[in-house]
Amino acid sequence: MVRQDLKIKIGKLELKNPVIAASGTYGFGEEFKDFVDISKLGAIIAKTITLNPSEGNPPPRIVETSSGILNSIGLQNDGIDGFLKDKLPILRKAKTVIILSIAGENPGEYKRLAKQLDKIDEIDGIELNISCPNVKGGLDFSVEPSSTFDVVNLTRRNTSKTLITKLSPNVKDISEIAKAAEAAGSDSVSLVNTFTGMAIDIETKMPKLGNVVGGLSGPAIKPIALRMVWEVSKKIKIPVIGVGGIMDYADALEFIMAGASAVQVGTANFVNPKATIEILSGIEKYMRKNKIKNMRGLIGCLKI
Amino acid sequence: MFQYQADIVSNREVKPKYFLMQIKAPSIAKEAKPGQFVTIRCDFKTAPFLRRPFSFHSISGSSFKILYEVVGEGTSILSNKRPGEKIDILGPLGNGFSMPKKCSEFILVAGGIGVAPLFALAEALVKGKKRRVHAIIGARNKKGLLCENDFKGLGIKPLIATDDGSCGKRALATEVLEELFSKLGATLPTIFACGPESMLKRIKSITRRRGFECYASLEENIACGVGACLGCAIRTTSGYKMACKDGPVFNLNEMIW
Repeated sequence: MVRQDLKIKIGKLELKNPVIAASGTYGFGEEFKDFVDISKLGAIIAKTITLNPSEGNPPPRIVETSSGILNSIGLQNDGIDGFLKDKLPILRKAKTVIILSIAGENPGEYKRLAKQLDKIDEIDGIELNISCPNVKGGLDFSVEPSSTFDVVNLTRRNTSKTLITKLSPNVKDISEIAKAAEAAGSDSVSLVNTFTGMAIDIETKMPKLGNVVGGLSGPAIKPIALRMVWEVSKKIKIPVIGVGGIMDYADALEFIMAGASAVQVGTANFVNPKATIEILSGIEKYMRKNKIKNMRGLIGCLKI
Repeated sequence: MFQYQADIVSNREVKPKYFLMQIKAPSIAKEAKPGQFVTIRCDFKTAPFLRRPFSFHSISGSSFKILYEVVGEGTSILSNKRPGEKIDILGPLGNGFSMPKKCSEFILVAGGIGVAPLFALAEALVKGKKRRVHAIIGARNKKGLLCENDFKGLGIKPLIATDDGSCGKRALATEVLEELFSKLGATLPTIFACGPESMLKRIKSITRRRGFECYASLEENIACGVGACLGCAIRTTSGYKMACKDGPVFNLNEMIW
């Protein structure tokens, strides 16, 4: 029997398979070690860190909606120094590709973070979170091609590590933003981040989230995320990583067929902590059944 | 921590809208401590979407029980499950009640469905020697009063408070607590509580005045349950803590409401 080859390349990184745990949903990997052999995943993307510690948004931070959740965590993290001291040793225990998500309040902060992380061998790649809807200024960079270009370019010039730019769906034309990220030297784009949304408690007449608005994720957003991945992947040459409401292997295959080289599994981890590994084995089975030898036979194979 | 499909042993309505479910799950029951919880995936559809948290109500051998109120879609689905069916559980999660070694007098204060984790704690407390355990159970009315006989079965005669006086005293659980304090005299009890936020706030002000320690199991929307998503933040004197991983039991003195 021919063994399926699930390897993919993102920038300088070779991932043993296309299943990645999404930032903000997987902690630092260790939280899921009782359920999943993390070394089997293609990569994990750790929770976003910022230059300075951030305490995050007031609760409630999570609200369930129809087939999804709204969150307004607000990038709670210990800052880069706290991360390097306390979290990096934990993260490194995951014997797979380690990607760190970073966010800044201004381009200068991205630059400083990139410079500092460039020297850290334990980090294999960087995902630029230029699209967190829950922090002031966090959305600004991803809404215009020019500001996206500036942040990505400045980061690019300060690190030789593989760069993935995570895009916001809350924009006029996501393809234009993706093209700007590519032109600025990003090795890949991941899309989409959450959709801004809100929910109201009609008894108290108050917003259900402490931050009033938050980001919508889960199966509710999947069809829109899929359409965006399909559109973007036709317009750029760098690999696209699909993310948005992927719950099982069939969802993941839809994104890959639409043009994604890899997928991120996020909110699904909350409902099924073994989601990542089940998606991986589902993709393998599908490839075996359909006699597809490698990922090239799957990526962008959509027939229209 | 484990996550698997466990067997439902029984699931019956003990009072209108209140159900008691016994689940056979040897590995989880073996590690479970009072105050910890499990999350249950009520359905495999995408709505209701998230897992639902339930504290251990009673732990014995290879199984445990949860006591729950039907309040929405998730618990409604649970209430229709039958013995022999499988159920997707994840746990044990969080930190349980920690028992102060020096203390020998304990007061458990329950409001409504808040009695659920306190009964598991009572089961553990009565196993220790030379311990005096008091229990106060508050409810809206007789129909909503839970576990009175279960506590009696452990040798604890609970003090009952209902809003309408249909059972026990017509009073708030916290008023009964103050009466109990005046009878106890010089002893320094440890208080464990679970119930509505308004009750916990009153307990905090009562116990703080007297210098007693009070630990409460808090209820919060839980997403991941394992400390990864940082969604279940609780505001404390030392910053945000996570109900799922740092709690769900907190010292009331560190709470900021």
